[in-house]
Amino acid sequence: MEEATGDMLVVGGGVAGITASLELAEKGFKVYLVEKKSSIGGHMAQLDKTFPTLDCSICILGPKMVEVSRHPNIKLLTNSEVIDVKPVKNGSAFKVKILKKPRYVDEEKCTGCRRCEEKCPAKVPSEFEAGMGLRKAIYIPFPQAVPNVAIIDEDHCLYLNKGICRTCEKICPAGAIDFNQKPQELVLEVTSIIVATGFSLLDPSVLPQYGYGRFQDVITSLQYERLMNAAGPTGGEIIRPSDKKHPRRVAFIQCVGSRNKKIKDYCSQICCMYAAKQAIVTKEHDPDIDVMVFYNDLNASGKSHEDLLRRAIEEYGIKYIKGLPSEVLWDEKSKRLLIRYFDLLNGEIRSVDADLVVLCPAVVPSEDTSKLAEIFGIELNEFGFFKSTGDIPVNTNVPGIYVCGACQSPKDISHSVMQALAAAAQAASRARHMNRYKNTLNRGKTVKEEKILSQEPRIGVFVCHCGLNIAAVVDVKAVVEEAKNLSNVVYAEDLMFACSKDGTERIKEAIEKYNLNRVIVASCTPRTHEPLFRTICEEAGLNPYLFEMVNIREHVSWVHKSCPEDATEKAKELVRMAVAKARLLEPLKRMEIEVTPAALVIGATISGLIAAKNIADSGFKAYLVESGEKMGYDLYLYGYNEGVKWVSDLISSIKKHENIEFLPSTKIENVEGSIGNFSVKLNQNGAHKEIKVGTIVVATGAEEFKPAGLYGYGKFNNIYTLTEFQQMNGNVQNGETIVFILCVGTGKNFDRTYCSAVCCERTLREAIKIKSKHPKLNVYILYRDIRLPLEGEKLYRQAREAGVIFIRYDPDRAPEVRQEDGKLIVNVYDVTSYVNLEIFTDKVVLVTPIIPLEENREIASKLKVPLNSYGFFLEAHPKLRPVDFATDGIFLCGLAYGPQRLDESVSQALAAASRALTTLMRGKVIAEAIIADVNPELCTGCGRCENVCEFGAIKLELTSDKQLVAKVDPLLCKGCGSCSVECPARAITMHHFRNDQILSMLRAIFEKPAPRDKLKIVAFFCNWCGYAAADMAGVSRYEYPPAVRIIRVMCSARVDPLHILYALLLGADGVLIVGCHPSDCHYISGNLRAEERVLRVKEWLKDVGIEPERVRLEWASAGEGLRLAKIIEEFTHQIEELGINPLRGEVSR
Amino acid sequence: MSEAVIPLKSSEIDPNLKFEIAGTELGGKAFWCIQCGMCTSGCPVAEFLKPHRIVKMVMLGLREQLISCKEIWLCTTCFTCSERCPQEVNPANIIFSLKNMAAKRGIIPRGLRDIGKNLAETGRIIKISAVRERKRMKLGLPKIPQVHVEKNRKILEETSFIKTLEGAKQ
Repeated sequence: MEEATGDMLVVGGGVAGITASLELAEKGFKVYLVEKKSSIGGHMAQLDKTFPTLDCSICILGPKMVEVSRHPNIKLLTNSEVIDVKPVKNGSAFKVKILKKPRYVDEEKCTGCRRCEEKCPAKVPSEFEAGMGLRKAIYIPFPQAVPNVAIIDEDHCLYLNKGICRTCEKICPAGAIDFNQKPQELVLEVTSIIVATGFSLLDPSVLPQYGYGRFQDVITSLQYERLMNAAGPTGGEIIRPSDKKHPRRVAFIQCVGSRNKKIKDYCSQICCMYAAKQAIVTKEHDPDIDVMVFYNDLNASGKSHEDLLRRAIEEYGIKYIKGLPSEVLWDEKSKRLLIRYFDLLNGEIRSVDADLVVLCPAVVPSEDTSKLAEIFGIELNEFGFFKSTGDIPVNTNVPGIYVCGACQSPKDISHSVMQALAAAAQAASRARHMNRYKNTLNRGKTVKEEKILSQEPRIGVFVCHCGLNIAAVVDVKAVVEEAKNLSNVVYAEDLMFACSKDGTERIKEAIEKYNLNRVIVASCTPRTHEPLFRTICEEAGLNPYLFEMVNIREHVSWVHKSCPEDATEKAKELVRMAVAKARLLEPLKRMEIEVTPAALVIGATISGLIAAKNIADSGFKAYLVESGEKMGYDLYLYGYNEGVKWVSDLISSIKKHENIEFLPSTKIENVEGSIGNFSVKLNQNGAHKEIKVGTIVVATGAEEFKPAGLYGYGKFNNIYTLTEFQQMNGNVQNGETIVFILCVGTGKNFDRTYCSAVCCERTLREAIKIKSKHPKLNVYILYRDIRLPLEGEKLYRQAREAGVIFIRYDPDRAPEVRQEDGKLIVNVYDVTSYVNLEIFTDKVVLVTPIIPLEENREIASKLKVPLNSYGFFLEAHPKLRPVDFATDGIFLCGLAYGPQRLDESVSQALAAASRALTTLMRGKVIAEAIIADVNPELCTGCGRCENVCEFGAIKLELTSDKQLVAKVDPLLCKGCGSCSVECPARAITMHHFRNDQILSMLRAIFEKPAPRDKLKIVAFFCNWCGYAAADMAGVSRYEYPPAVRIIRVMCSARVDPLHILYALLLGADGVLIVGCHPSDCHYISGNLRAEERVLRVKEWLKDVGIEPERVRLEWASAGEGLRLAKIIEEFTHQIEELGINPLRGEVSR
Repeated sequence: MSEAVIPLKSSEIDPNLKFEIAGTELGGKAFWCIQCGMCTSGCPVAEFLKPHRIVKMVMLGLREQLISCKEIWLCTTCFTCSERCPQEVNPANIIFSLKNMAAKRGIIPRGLRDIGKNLAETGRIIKISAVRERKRMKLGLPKIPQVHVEKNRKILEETSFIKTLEGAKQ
């Protein structure tokens, strides 16, 4: 074994393991990712949608999985387990033994064609489908499996058990079956280990009263995910297992085994939110299904969670019932389930029949957890999850071994991702610290010199069957034939799975063999698969921008399955359009720049301190800028008084740190530049200073809401906020009465509805503290829902056992505080005992939300990053990019992100540090290639482009001959294309979405005259919302009329009035433009620009006598597949009524 | 106990009630309750008796209201609530304890008083009438065995059952 070079081991290939692996690999470490199952993906791959955005889960995870398999620095070991770990070299490294179990399929040879699967005679319930569907004994668990390689199930294979069959061996065209495979042992030496082994769900049959296992129509929430999923056993049709009928009523039961003293005495954290999601998705499938959710306390403490819950109730009409049912019965007569329930809020006892009951079981440690704890030598907590040690949630009792994700405690995807990034940060800084870091990432090597473009385009077209996903509807062979006949197409073929290893190899071979210089793949959506195919082109020596993708799955086969002929015609036409564009594609270069090896951390909050320290510990300079004076001032917001030892230790280590420069009383005056090289002007008490950094971490913190005018605050004596009460430090007398009121100033009667996440726990801790000092104190806590983390449940019990009285109040009947004869009286209606209580009290403590800082607005505008509607910073994606901004190089953590608990803030701070470090450690930034470009010869210097650019990426500059000319900063340009539309001189080219490219696509649509009974509608959809919604419509199989031809543009602002007019002149019967909802634009205001322009076009149309109704602009979000399908349908009908475009054929005639 | 304003002056509530009940032989830990409602949703007489509410009132320390309420006497003692309670509160035993407390204060519903009286006088909770004896004979059933009324009475006296019964308000 050679000297350890900083190699890393990640155990578990769920979203946490995937994130940690990619993060470390991107930093340049060699990573071994060990997964027990035959594919990575974990639970997230099984989910239909993710909350709170209702993103398609596999659609956002799939590309990450593919990235893992393609990453030159990641060695993926599936069907493998860690069997031994020994510290070596004084604990500075680990010797790890891994058992790779036989797959009986050669991973190198298997192409994932699944022919073996078709013929295998042995049927077994599929684990991936949570038992809702069947698989064979040889199988690939799901279509997006990575590696996409079959595995033979030893327990069910006829040959391995009975010595007969061997059908797969005979049928496999690749000769990949190998029954002689034996278990293999591998020994590695690694510097750090990240354990991310995930969770399991409790088997609900331990609560026999709910009938799981006895009644077929009682299922778990995970089974329901598969039932809702378009790729699941029912094709996304929600039908109940017993009679395959559509349910009229679906009931969800929460807390099945959670918060149960006899089973799992903790809140499982995720169930309330996923049930809300599932309830909404159910309603989206069929609004007529009656959906009920039985709950005890609703836990919606994460960012935007409360909003989703409110939507579920208010917008979707889902019935939430406070009260857990005691049992579920089966009514033999009606063949329906029967739930007798009690609604605590109105005191009514009712019986309701339901067709489907979905149980939300407790999240429990996965079965291997205790065995793994022994192997790794790490401790478990009392709940059986891996135990965090110290103040960093990802640290364990063994230095160098880190934990992240749901194996540490139940948590949602966002928090798993944050912890995974945090673990990567810890592992990386440890390796750097021990001088065990060598950047082994050198992608340049595998890429051949780019071919010099020959004059004539030589286009290759690859049409994918996607198994039967496309081929069942679209005549793939006919599309190939069509492509072959197009000029410049020198090669066309069909592929079973274009994205499989086999498929990509075929593409590479064809590029070589036919000397292709443009490549088109007609398969699925470019939103997930374009990066893969671009890399393939690059590997074959072709500039990645000479690739064009055609979406014949989400936009054709999945949405037009009832009209296969039209679908095939549409697919052909989409290919013609792509070929037209491909002829005009040109190679684009990505600029490479050096990175300034320093970071700026804004805000000396707890999270700011942790981020700065991690960056500095990893050997980079960190500027810690604070507008106030003190470090760690926001500790009180998490419920701790000053003097917490680890915080004071942290502060003193930062003061001493040679890599950290602390700048108190300093304001950010101006920020210029972009990822890799920011130049920041600072103002420290009037003294100006300029610093240069490569990355920026925003950690500005938050503050406590002062409840002026609420509950007599400021009017009566002895009313305090929680912080004020804490600062009095126990100024209470034994025998007094204290009333705490939670959720003050938040909720539906305020403009602030979010949950502040920390208050319940903070209040409990305070209540226990005073109650244990003064046992005769009467303490009342007036609450709405108790929302606690894993360990918090203990505090809740402790408080109850100490005699603290909890009273649930209704925000519509909020408590009242008055004063009589100098005595405070709190009136409250207890919603669970139906009595109006009048509490004579000595003190009232108002627990108020965490609110964003006023200075956030200023900082956001200087950094050009967005805030959400409440004024907290808005991350790039709530699930997979929780610490990134859409703007590269700027990251987010702590209370600036939103209210969260201390451990979450600590993890997030490390996560942000990790992201910042990745750029610093790589040392290079590669800029976007698809950007705008100004032709100075044509530019008149009018400056209109500057006005529409939200990113300051295009600016007027004086040339040497004193001319004002616009210039694009390639590092800042995001490629929306708004400037090129705005330019009256047509001096700006938006590369890859050039006018000539778009116009040629339009011409291709109308090349063949359409029959008079077929409409043609041109659609321009923005990449982020309109196009994504169309993808969603496809994934959800919402059919719409096949008349639309969707052209993808990055932003609706790229749509030029010229494009619309040209389409109409060519004979388009209608033009539909879909952008993001007004506040959702990926480019901030592009959609609003598009609106102005479309309105203008409509005015012109009126003047020339064309119905302006033929042009329509709509907004849709990425999740609104059904809505988009309806928009298309409705628009098509409207056009049908208008009749075909009278200009049809005019131009060509 | 209809909806009413219940003033919680510290002098008028008994914060100790829940601990007192938990300390009795029957036990029942009201302070563990998280008001999930599972007890009431499974209670066969929930139209009249809501165990979660009784438990809540114990938590609040509303001793007088509880002792004088009718509901506690309606429990069928099926123990479904105690069986299903996720927090092991044992509402059925809490209700038992409350009944004991009420009885000690002389609050016993008439029906129960009659049963008690029968038990003290005849050793049985139901008096066996001569008509019934004859009916049994006709059906060929054996004679109901005799009970030792005196021995039985002694037990009832020793356990202060009789005293409790006599103290019951008419």
